[in-house]
Amino acid sequence: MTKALLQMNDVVAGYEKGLPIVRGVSFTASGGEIVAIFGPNGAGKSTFIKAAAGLMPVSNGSMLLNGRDITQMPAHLRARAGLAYVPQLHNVFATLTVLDHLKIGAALLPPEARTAQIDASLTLFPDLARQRQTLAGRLSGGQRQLLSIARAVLTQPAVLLLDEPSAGLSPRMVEQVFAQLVKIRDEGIAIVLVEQHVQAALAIAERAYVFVEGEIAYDGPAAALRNKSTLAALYLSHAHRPAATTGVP
Amino acid sequence: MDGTLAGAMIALGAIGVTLTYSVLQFSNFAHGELISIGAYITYLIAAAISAAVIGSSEALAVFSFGWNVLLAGGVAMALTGFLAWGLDWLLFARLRAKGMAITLVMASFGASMALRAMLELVFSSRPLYYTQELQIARAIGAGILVTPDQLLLVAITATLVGLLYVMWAHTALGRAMRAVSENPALAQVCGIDVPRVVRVTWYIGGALASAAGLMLGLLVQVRPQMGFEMLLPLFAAAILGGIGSVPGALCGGLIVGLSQAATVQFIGAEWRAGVAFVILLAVLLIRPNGLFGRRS
Repeated sequence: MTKALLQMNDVVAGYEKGLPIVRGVSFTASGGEIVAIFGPNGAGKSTFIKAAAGLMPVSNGSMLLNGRDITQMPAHLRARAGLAYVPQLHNVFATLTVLDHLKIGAALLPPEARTAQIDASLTLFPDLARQRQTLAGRLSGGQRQLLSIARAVLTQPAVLLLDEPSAGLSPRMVEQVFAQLVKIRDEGIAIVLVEQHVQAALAIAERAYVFVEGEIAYDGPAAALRNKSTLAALYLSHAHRPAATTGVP
Repeated sequence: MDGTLAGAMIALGAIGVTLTYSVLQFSNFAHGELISIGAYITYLIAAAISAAVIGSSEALAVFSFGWNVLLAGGVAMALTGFLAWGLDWLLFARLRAKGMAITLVMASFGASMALRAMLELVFSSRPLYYTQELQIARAIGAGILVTPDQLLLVAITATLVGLLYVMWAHTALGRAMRAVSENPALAQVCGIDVPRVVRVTWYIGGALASAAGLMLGLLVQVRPQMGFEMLLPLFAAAILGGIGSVPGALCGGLIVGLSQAATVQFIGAEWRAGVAFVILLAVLLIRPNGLFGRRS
């Protein structure tokens, strides 16, 4: 694990002004670690990750990417600055081919590096290499997820944000996707993983946050959450907690 | 040949309509006026060149017009592209920021009327001509008669559509435009500068509209109503081809143009305008996604 690549301080975000969904969340993710975010439905996990990606208005707080303030930066510039985001749904362009997606990702790299990176990406994702001319709309759910991750990783980001990458996938495909995430983590990228598939995510994550009602209920080692009752207690008990728990709950 | 030419003109306009619709998700009813404005800008620049360079308006080889018209047409494409972009900046971008799709459509109606009225105010309703030369059609086989102007215009259209297709299908800009048309939010997080893609879309749409105006002006005449009268065929072609499809707009334009010519030939000229309406209705009822459109 290296230095903090993504720092979010006291972030307040939501669809409408005056109705925050994420309420004063502070968060860090460092290079070479997977940080999992859990929480019940409506806890603000996806809103938080969208705010980090630049798709959600932030009414308070600050965000630093590799030490650079990105709080007011548009989403496309965040992508160019090294923040890659893979949405949960609609994460590929159905009418574009697999190769088109990789070329869109490669467009963020210097021209001389593009072909080599596309080749490297196809080596890392052999399933996609066999279907490079296939329209993304014809891929299976798992293949779309892999394509979306491949497109994001190809940009050589500092931070990779993933919103429920296992949603709708078979257990075998979840295994495949998570195995790829470990490889990507090992390259020094910080991975932020919003996930409902708790046990699978805990198996690969170093640290975890638990969100409840838009606030952080837990921030600490992922291993401490492997006991199911601990997580359940966090989900249910936060409403009356005065402050977030740090470390072992 | 008349049908092919009409189809080519309609296709150039329909491509602009389909690009605007697919990238910005709204029907721009002011697109016809971009055709008229392009034709008038061409006229003004051609007249200026003619006044500045003696002999520039003399008929070029077998054609009925001088090189001043061709040069003016190219400059007018560039200027009309900027004008379309300016229209978006002045009007549509502000409404788009408020997220009201129906307001955009109504605003385009308003812009259409305002621009048409402005053309009438400045130029009056009197028709203008790029050239007064007459051309004799020549037989090219299979009973087809064609003038050199017509052949040149078909070649220009084929070149423009070919270039546009290469851009759309094989370049980074084309991929970005296709991505934005399908999912602007995802395009953003992929690093695509969506506002820039929007500007380029307006620019290309305006430039192609201007080319259609040049064709219409050369083959018929330049009038303030010329673009407005093309509006129904443009939308019929764009919808027939499938909104968002460049090849679809080309095929749709040719089908509408050939259908109009066949109607004049076999039924009567008074039914020509109704053909586009019938095609539009038939497509909406039978195949709403058009020939090349993607299913929603």
